[in-house]
Amino acid sequence: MFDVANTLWLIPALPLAAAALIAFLGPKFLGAKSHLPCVVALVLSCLLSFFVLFAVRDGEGVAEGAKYYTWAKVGDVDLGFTLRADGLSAIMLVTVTFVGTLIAVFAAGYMHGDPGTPRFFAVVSLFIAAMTTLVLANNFLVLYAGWEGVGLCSYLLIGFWFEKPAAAAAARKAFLVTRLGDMGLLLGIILLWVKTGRLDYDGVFAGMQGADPYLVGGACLLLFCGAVGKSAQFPLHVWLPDAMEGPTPVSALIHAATMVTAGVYLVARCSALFFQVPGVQLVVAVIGGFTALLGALIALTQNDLKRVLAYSTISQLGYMFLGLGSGAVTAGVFHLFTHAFFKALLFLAAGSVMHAMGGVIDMRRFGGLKRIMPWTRATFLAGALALAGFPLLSGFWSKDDILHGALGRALEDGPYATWYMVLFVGGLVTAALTAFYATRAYLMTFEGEERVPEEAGHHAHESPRVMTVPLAVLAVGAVAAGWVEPFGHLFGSTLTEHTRGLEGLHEHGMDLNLMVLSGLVALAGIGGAWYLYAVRVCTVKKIAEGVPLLYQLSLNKFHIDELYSALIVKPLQGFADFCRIVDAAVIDGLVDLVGQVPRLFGLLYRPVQNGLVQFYALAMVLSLTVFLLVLLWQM
Amino acid sequence: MNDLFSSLIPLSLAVPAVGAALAAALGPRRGPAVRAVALAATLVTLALVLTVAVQFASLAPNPDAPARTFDPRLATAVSLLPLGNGPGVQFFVGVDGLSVWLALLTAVLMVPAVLVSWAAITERVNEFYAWLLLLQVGMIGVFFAFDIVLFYVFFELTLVPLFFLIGIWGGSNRRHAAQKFFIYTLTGSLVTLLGVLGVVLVCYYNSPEKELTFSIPRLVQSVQERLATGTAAELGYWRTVQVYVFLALMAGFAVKVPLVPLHTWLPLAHVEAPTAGSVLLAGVLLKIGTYGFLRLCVPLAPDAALSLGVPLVGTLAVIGVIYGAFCALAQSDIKKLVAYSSVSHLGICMLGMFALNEVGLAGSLVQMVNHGLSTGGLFLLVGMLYERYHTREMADYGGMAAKLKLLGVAMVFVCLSSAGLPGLNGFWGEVFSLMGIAKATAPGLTPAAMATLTALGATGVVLGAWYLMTMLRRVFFGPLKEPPHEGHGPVGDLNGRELAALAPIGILCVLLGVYPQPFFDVASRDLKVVAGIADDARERARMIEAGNAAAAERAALAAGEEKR
Amino acid sequence: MNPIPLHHYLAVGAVLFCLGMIGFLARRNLIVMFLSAEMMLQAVAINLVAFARYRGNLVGQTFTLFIITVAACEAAVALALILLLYRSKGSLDVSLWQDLREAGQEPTLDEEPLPPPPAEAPLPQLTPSGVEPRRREETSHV
Repeated sequence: MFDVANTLWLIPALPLAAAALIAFLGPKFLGAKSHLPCVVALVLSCLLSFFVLFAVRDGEGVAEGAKYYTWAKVGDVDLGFTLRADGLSAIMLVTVTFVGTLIAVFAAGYMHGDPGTPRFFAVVSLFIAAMTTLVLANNFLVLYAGWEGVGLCSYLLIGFWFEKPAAAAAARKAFLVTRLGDMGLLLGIILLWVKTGRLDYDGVFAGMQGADPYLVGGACLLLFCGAVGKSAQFPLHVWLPDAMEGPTPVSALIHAATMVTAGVYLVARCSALFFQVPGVQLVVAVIGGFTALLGALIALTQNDLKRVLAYSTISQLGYMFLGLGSGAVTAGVFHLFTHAFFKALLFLAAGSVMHAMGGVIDMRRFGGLKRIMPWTRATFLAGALALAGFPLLSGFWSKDDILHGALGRALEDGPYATWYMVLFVGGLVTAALTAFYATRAYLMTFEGEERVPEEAGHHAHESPRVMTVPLAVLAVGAVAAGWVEPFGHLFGSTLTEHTRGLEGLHEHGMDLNLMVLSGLVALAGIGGAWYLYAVRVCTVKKIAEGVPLLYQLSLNKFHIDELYSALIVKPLQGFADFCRIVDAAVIDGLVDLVGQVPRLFGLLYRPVQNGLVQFYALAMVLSLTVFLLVLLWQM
Repeated sequence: MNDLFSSLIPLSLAVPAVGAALAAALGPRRGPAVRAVALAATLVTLALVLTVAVQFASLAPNPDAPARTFDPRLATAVSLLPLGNGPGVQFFVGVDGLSVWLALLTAVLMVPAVLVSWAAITERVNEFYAWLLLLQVGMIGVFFAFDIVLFYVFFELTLVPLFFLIGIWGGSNRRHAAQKFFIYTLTGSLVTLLGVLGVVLVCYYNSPEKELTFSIPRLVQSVQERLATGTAAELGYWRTVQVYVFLALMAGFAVKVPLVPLHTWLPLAHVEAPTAGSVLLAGVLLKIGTYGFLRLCVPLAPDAALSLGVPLVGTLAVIGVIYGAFCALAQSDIKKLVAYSSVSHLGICMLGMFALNEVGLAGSLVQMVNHGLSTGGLFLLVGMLYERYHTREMADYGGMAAKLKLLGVAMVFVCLSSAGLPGLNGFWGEVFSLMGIAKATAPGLTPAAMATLTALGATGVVLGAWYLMTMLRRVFFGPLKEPPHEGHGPVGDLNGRELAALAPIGILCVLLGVYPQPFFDVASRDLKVVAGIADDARERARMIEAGNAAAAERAALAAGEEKR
Repeated sequence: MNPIPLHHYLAVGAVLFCLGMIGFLARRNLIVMFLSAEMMLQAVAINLVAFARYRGNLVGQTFTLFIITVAACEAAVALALILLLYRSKGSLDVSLWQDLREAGQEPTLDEEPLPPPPAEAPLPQLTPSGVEPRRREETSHV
């Protein structure tokens, strides 16, 4: 029917065209209907993505890349605008466009009546265009272009309500923190280019085969810097919670489908490099495992529903990196895939709650909403259970895969077995904590005594159909998306059999003992939360008072923001001020000093110029006399 | 047919000159007529330069051109001052891959410069536009000139109009700014004049047939021939001469670029200049410095460029990238912030240039054009904001995006282009410059040193985003806070004239970001020339190193034998 | 005929030149200074004529003619300027004009100022009998 190579470019081009259309026509002509071009373009992109996925499964992908035009060709750089469709791209593509489409539909309802609607949908379309470019890219600079485009769109969307100082600050923070990582990515790309002379994936991976391990390790670490920034891993995770200042669909978009998954995608894409250096893999796993635990610990005590979800995203991304670092690439990408569904669902459901509560998102101010919002409640529950890793829901399978990978490394006779054992235990603890906070969020919002804040008015109600239908679809995904792997290995086979560089990675072991263990851990977390928040509510306070230090640390996000401000931002600003003063006083001062030298000379001779004609005449006569005398004496 | 096209280049110099005379003659009271003349002159010049560029791009490369020198096309040469046995000083203008885009950039930026002064300049209108058009003559002349004396004349000609533009129509401290700008850059360029004379004379004394030439392509060729055929002793002589020539030529260009620590005239001049002056100063005049490096310093002193380029210029450039960015970060005056950002951006440009390989040179050249577009755009927008509220203090503003929507969108766009977002123009300059320097080799420099320079240069990418985003947040985002503006009437968003001034910049930013290949294709021949000249220098440096090593080995052997 | 030797002429020229020079340096009246300067010019003219005769060609005489012409023009311009200066300050003392001194320099003043000039007797005027003449408001002293 279609030829993949000829249709591939349409997937980013359609949303891009929609973005241009809305940007130019939106404010004047489209107005409140601005979501239409965006939704239509995304639906078409999504259909094309599914088509590409099926084509890839049939072995008709374009793993070698389809070149559309020469982007820049100078000297020994030959950079084509080249897209590729292989297993990894196709899976990412489907995830991004499918979840993105549902979010756009939801946003059509959520943003209804906001004067900035055209701007919102233009940027959302651009966001999807950038993200699809990122995953379709066949060379590092096209990837970088998509990567930066995603960063830009997140900047514009987080700062959507730019009149709010917090939103403006959060937008800038997100852009700058991720840019810090991007610098690493760019340097990594340049390093790879210098060593191999290529920019396309296949060329780079082939060129780096058997290269100096320190070099490969350095390049991998630089690339991982980019991933850490974009995927909000410790120590660059600080931008993500602040990103909640944007409209809620944006949070869903950033946290689930786009943006943050880019880092995971990058590391998965560069597996061929990371597998060459186990030390760097361990770094990835440690950063991932640590971030997972940190995020989960912070999420335990947050009272803002969206912040709980934000830290949960950080934690789950850490999980993905744990999987990637353990060599379980399939597991990491699989968790990305399932996470996209349930996290998008949770955010949209939170948005739905926020919509009904008049913009209030503090869980202490509302509760027991299950009667008012039955649809939202049911879907949120599905998402929360999937996040918690409730047996047989999607999160369970992917999390289990990752733990399996980590345990595999720990039991292997590798150089870092002990490390991986620690990471495995940390992963289990994180799983328990995750189950705990997911259940806590659900219980605090939907169960218990019914409380509605006064901002909601008297008509707190379930959201309209345009918002609940995407929730329902995502809920189905949250429950069932995980089944593609355990029942038929559809996911793993697509990934490993149709992606260059990932061949032969698919080690699927259904370890029944491990599944039981992780299921029990999840159930323990859920049960614990149930006990504390639904059965004996007063105990929570006692526990918090019992470990005040830990509680305060968690509540204040381990003071990392303050730490950065004091250790990095403030000194750099101080340095900037120092530069300004040095520039004005020292450098310019020196210049002015040099400028003063002729003036000083002038001061010496000033008295001679007294304006008296006869003095001048006398000077002339005297000097002429001297001159003549010298002349005579010479003769 | 080619004759017709080659007459376009002198014509594109004559049109603004005539426009300037006409504008001056119209008198100060006939403002509308003066503006119309100025706009017409700039548009005609733009059309002429565009035709030249299109024609140049369509010309097949000249197969007979020597491989190691520039090949001006559509050239016109008229002898002005016959000296020696050759044509002497000539009015020698033409176009090649290095100059074509910069000339076009000048012609494009003149249009917004005229449009943005439309309502802002109300006093001595005729003189203003006359100086502005005269400035254009100088700027376009520098890029089209292929005679070294003509180049220098145009180079200095740009000073005078800008001196008056700043000194008469500038801000409150304009006299000091104009004076400092003039004296500082003049002092530098007088040393450059010494270098120019030095090159001409050295080539004259050392050429076998005692040829006295002022033509840049001939000089370059002559230098390359001497270097290619010289004996070891001659090469040693040339290497010493080159160091002096390089340093002398560098003096003027380094002030113009400006390289840290010779940059302090720039913020002052930018802050005090009228908007059109700032736009042209940032957009074109600074490029004259970088262009001078590329056109004269590197080809005429290749060995010195190789041995001094990275350690001296590269280090200063990296310092400039970081230092300029931090200075920009600490400013509270928007215009000063943008001025310091120029220091930072041109640092990256110089870094790419002294990578002395094709990628780096291409990055450097595209960075020149990018910086002209995006910083020109920034100054335009700041000027438009200033025209509305008469303050440049960031603290006076807040949330302006809510009130001035189009201006806000344009500002965000230009800031992103300046911060090097892929898909917009700034990206190529940064990426190719950094790639170039990462892969650069020079005698005595390890790959680790290059990697350090690259990494330090790359911090400019983050710092650039930092100060630009900070500026956006303070001025355009947050709650609306308008500075007091009594007596100026209601403040409106961008009008049609201002949009027309910004549109070419916006379009070119996107075009250059999405499809830059024509740019590189057209420039590629001459970039290859410069890269080839540098490669020859590398080869010579390698030979000398090998020779030294062999000599040392022989000496060691001899010493060993003696011991025995 | 025993021609007067060259050095006699030169001696006259030199004496004239020195007189002019001393006059120029010592006197403060603008007109006197101008006359002194003219005197120096004439000394030069004498020298030129003397040399022309000594050499036996007409070059020096031609020069002298030029000098005389130029001196005439110069006299016209200089006297006009002096008149203007006098009108502005009512005096011919050259030390009153020090305006071209460097900014920030104090003007040079006489340590012992001259005694004020003696009051001039009113100019006699013919009057019609019986009526006191109306004094002219503007009085020119030139």
